[in-house]
Amino acid sequence: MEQYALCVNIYVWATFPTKSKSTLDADVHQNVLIKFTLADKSGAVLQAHQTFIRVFNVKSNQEVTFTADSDSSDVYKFTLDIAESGKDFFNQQSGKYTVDLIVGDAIIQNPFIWNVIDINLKFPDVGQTDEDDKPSQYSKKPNLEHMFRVPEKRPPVAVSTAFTGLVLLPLAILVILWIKLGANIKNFSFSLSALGFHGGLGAIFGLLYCYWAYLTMFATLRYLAAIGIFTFLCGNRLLRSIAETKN
Amino acid sequence: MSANIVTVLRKFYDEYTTKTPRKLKIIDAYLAYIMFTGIIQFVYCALVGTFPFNSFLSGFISCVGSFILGVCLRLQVNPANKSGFHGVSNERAFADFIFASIILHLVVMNFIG
Repeated sequence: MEQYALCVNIYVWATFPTKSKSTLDADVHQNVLIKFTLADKSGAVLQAHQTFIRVFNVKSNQEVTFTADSDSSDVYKFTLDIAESGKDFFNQQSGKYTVDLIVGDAIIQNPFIWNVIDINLKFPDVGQTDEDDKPSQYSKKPNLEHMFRVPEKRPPVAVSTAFTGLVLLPLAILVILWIKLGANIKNFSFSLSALGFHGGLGAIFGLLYCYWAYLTMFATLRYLAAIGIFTFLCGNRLLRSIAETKN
Repeated sequence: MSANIVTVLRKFYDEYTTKTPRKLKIIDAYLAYIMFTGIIQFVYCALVGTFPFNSFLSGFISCVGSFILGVCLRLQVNPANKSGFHGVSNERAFADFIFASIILHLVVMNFIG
């Protein structure tokens, strides 16, 4: 692991602290170590009550402030673990940061904030996109398009037409057979009841077709009741007369 | 063996043509017509597919129901069964047949879709 060490000697009499000209680059595999000592005008090393390291994101104006602690020999030391602090403080925001040293104390007359150096922090992108791309629960959701059921594959027209003809074929055979057997239609009487009966049956078949095509069940039942009663009366009279003539 | 079957069938056919009343033959023709219609529908269903399944069902049910009604009519009209259907005249049986067919086809039309 590579470490960047920043050793700064601060002279309190320095009225205009200069900023380091170089810029550091650091990524999650590295640590930033800042060491400094404070000295008064006479050069004696001292401790201040308040020593902070402020890390400031130039772009997003977000700042994170850490405390710097001194050891027994009054050397202040601050370690920035980039991998860990990236998760905890920096929100995985890569970019240019300025590192400022803030020093203050009850006995220091001119507490200062000194821009020590610029540093480019690089965090992996995965964590960053996670936060940004999470869709807001109030954002517009994608439109739901209704999917109609895909119609099933139909056989070619020729096949279905052929089978329609094939289904009708037995009907032709039926007619031929009936003619051959000599169905007795010469006895058909053109009385009112006979006409009414057959006409009523035909009407019922027509009604069934209309029901299939466009009528509703209620309308169909109403019509069917009317036609059915008429057909029933006619059929009753017709069949009764046939039965009587036979006896 | 095959000759036997042929003679049996021939005898059966002769008996049928001579002894069966014409009324029953007409009903038999109707039954055969319905049976073949149903068979062709079933073959279509087996070969091509059951795509409008309710249509197939209604057509097939129409055939089966009509066949059953036809068989019932034939039973009632058959002179050999006269003792079983005492008091049921041919006309009465025919009227029942018509009535039941109309009800059946009302249902079938409801189902055809």
